[in-house]
Amino acid sequence: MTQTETQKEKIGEGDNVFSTDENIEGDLVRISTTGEVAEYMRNGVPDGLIALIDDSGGTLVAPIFDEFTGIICPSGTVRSHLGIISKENNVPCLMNAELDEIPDRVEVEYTADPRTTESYEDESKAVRANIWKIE
Amino acid sequence: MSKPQHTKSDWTLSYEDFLETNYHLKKHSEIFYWLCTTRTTQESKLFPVPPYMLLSYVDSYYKWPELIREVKSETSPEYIGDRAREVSTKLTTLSSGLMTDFYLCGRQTLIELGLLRPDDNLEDLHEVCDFAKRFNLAYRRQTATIKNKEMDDKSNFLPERTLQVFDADMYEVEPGDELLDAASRFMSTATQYAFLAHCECRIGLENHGPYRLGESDQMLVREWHDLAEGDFPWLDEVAADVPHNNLVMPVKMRDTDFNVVDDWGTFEATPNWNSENIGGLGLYTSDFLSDGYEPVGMGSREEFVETLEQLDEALQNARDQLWLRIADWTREQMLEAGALVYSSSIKDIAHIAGTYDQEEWFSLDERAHQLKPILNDEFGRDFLTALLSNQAWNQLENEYFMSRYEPQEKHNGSLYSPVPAAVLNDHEYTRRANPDGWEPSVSNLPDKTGPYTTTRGKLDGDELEEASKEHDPWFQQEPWVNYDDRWVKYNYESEEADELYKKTQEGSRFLEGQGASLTRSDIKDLRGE
Repeated sequence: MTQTETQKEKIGEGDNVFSTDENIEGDLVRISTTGEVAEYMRNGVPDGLIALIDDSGGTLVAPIFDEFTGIICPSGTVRSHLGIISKENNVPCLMNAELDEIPDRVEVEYTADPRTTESYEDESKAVRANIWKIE
Repeated sequence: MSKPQHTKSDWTLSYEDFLETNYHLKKHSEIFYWLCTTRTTQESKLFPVPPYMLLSYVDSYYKWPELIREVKSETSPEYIGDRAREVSTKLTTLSSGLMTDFYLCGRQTLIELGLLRPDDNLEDLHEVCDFAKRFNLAYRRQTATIKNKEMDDKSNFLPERTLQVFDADMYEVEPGDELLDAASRFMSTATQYAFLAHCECRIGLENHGPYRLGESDQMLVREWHDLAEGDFPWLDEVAADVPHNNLVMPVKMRDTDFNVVDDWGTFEATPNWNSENIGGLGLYTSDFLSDGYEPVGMGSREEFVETLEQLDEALQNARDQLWLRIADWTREQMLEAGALVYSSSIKDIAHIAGTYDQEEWFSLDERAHQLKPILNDEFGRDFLTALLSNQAWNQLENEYFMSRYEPQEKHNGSLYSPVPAAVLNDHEYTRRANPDGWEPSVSNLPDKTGPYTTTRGKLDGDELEEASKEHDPWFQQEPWVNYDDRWVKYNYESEEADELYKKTQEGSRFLEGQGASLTRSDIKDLRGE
């Protein structure tokens, strides 16, 4: 096992909305209240932030959405509102994500194939994207 | 506003109407189930979405039959469908499909709560199903369908003469050019703002098509509705600088196949949607007071870029102000606003008919309002999930039943309970939920005070009503209303066909005055390609 591999541990997976050319690494921050969003509106969103957004809607983080480097959402599907907005804004996004823990920094396999409508009718065609903890 | 006379009804359900009503219940059951199950229950940390959906369903159940009767006292569903096909209104493929589903979900919610039986209020049930069917058949006259699903998830309802103008007038774009960047920013801002203005609901968005552009390219027509000060009271002031209420953007995609454009306007393409594949763009506004599609900022490439940048800025400002306004709302206000977005989704039938009444469409039925105490987040989520996955008690069919989309291992049912045939024996059922007529009752939201933004400028309520009653666009008049693509195919050299196309081509960059004889090859020549 190489040094790099020991620093990168899989902690979850999700359904990819669209594919990027490269995986993305960034600090992970959980956002679930209007107060947190208002604070980012006042102070700005730091570069390189991946947001763990608790709901699959598109309104909670509306004013700051396109300032994130990536999105991870534990609910919804790639056809949920958050998925639609991520595609429009070209902000990579995993929906229906399952995480064993919420680390400070992650790498997300946004290069994975996107989940298709067909795969909702036939689960065997579903492809999951990985989430790794970075230490 | 004059109201239709309400009298006790002696209507009875014929066997023919019984069969057709159950046919619609079954058809909509299967399609709505598929649309819901590919998305899961939509939740939001800002809006109580599942509770407001249930509230809106019940509100629609109680008030839509009477609002539809008001509309029918002025005009027919076919007239409204024909109008909606020629312009861009809130009557999109999405809301047109929901015309039946929201009402039926309200009926099913009340059945599951034990407040209604499947054989109650059958005249209302037939009225709503029949209106929706007739409206949709006219609106989708080009494809002779009532749902995108019948076209394997496509909606090609625009006539050739409109598509030719869109095709001809698009500005070509390449990856990295200024116009494409401005358009991409505009589309993402408009989509995000539409979700917020619609309280987390997608009804403000529309995508229809695809329309074939040669051997490898396709056109998707993207629309955003109710963006400016208008019917939604919560957009007063915050959206004062948004100049257009509806915006329409035809998008040409290179080497792309849209394999899904579903009934809710969600699309999938091969290869995936990517702005680098966009090959052409246009921008229009349109509404129930317009005579078609009016170009927006398309006089020159520079003007187009500037217009998109201005729109993007106006929508971003409106979005941020609106977000701050909504963040201060009580849960009850969010619940009501969300419910009213849903139950007002078909309000443009009233705008077209000239029967629109702000209070009627933007206050809740009292009986629906009484459900609010049980609509907490947990009940809303769990009840809605059971309802939309066909797992509620009254939805279950017999043990041999298999539905179109559910797997074998799951005993399931039909989303909407059919009407039992036994009602034909003695006709002992209630006819209407409102035998004495319906009056608006409850709203805890601020009153509407601002103007209505239309293609004729900003109007007050009286001006809007007068303009709606008077407007009878040219395309709705004989002989034009009956000249469809099938007639043009055999009569394109006639003076009338030429006139029909020239009317649609007014204001076009390349097609003004060109008439009915053009092919796509002619259009390419006119564009100098």
